Amino acid sequence: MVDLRKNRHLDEELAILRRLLVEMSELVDEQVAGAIDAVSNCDLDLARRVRERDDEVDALEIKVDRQCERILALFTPVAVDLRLIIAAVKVNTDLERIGEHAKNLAKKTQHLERCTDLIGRTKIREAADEARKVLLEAQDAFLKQDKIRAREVLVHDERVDRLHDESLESIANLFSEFPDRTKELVHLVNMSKSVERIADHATNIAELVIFLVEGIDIRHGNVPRPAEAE
Amino acid sequence: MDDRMPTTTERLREEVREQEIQKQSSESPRAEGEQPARGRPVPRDKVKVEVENLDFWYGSNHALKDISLDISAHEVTAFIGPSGCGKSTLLRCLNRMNELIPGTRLEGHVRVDGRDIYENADPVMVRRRVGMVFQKPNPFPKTIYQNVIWGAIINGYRGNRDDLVERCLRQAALWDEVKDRLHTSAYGLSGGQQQRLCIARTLAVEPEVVLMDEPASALDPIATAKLEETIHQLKEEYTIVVVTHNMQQAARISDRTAFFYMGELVEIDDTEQLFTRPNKKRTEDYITGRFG
Repeated sequence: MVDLRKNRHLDEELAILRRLLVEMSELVDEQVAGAIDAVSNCDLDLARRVRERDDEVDALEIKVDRQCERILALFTPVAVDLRLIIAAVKVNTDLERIGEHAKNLAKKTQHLERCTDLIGRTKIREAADEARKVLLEAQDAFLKQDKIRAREVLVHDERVDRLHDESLESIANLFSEFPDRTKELVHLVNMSKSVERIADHATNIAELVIFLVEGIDIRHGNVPRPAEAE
Repeated sequence: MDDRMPTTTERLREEVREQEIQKQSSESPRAEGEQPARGRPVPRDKVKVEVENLDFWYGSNHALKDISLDISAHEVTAFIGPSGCGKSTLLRCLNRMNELIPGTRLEGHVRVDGRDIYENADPVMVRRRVGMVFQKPNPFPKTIYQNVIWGAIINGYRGNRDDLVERCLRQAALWDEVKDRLHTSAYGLSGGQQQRLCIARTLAVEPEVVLMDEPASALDPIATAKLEETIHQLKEEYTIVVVTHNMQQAARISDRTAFFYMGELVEIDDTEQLFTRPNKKRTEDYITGRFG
């Protein structure tokens, strides 16, 4: 008897997509962890490896997009399956962006040797640890389609934003204290920004979980939604 | 005269405009001598059916024009195109069914496993090797059992009849639904079941190729889904060619798709390629519903 409770071939393709997204999530998480460790320990070797692996992130991004395109073309999915593909395309982009920020963080490590004393006077390391936690939470929420976990991510991101603001304030003070170390301080601003952007992209992923599971678009809270009749 | 260098945006716009003009001028109508787009070719050792320079007429109506394509073994090939494009006509050329229509003429070649089916070939034997399922289910006014076994008996089958009937009904994904009423009238089945019975009947004479002319167009969505799953399973043993108006169906079930228009082959390629990046604008217009 043919089992119609599952569309077997669409489900097989969706399973392939899920495996690719798991792979992408794990790789990006390794990149972020590596970049943070490289920054924390001034590890130039680790930083180099993170930069070199960014090509793998880019290659996976293309694979995920191609699989989404294939599913859309061949199976014309609707309802939750359609939302999954839309979410997958967007999550894929966010993950690639996170990978890019990890690479940028790793690049900055070469400048850190000269400013480990300065970074200690900011909250960049704390923010980086928090950003990684937010990212892991968001990835977990997406892969498990856990809307409650996703909503928690939105709250935890605020911690990273606060730490980022505190870092910028500290760096602003450091500019006056060390006027001859402007270049290094600019690097610190960029590093703090990269960390904050990682958490922002993780928040995007969490918002997509809500969209996927509940069909509600919670982005840009104050923007009025298109009317049904439009 | 504007001597300044064009901006990047202006250059890009110009490039896109040139590409559009090129595509349109090569598409409408198909230029003399222009070849159909052919994607990845079928490896020679996988070709089951080969159509070569085939032309077909209904009286003076030139219905098929210089068709050449390969059908790969153990795959599902879909023929798509607007009404009147010749896809069903071509399908019937693959097992000489068009000969039953008076006033028709064919030139060119159709080969199955390298042997021409029109030269020194018995059409009855051809139709045994290349079976057909039609749009409207057409079971015999007999029992389910008799429907399946009839063709096999006519063709001299000497084996165990019960085994053959069960095997064919299982292959057609109908066995579980009819095993307790094999000797009741086939007319008591639903439309979807009748269609699968027709498939079982076709399989009983052990064809190598199964042609299906819009097999699901008379079926409801559930019956269609069952039929599509059956087609998917059948290709492990048979080569399947399906004519369909339903492009989403073609995308779901086929490995390769051929698009026809006004008697000509416009494009043939792996289904995924044709439905994501077709080479011909006319193909793209059709599959996106911009003409039909």
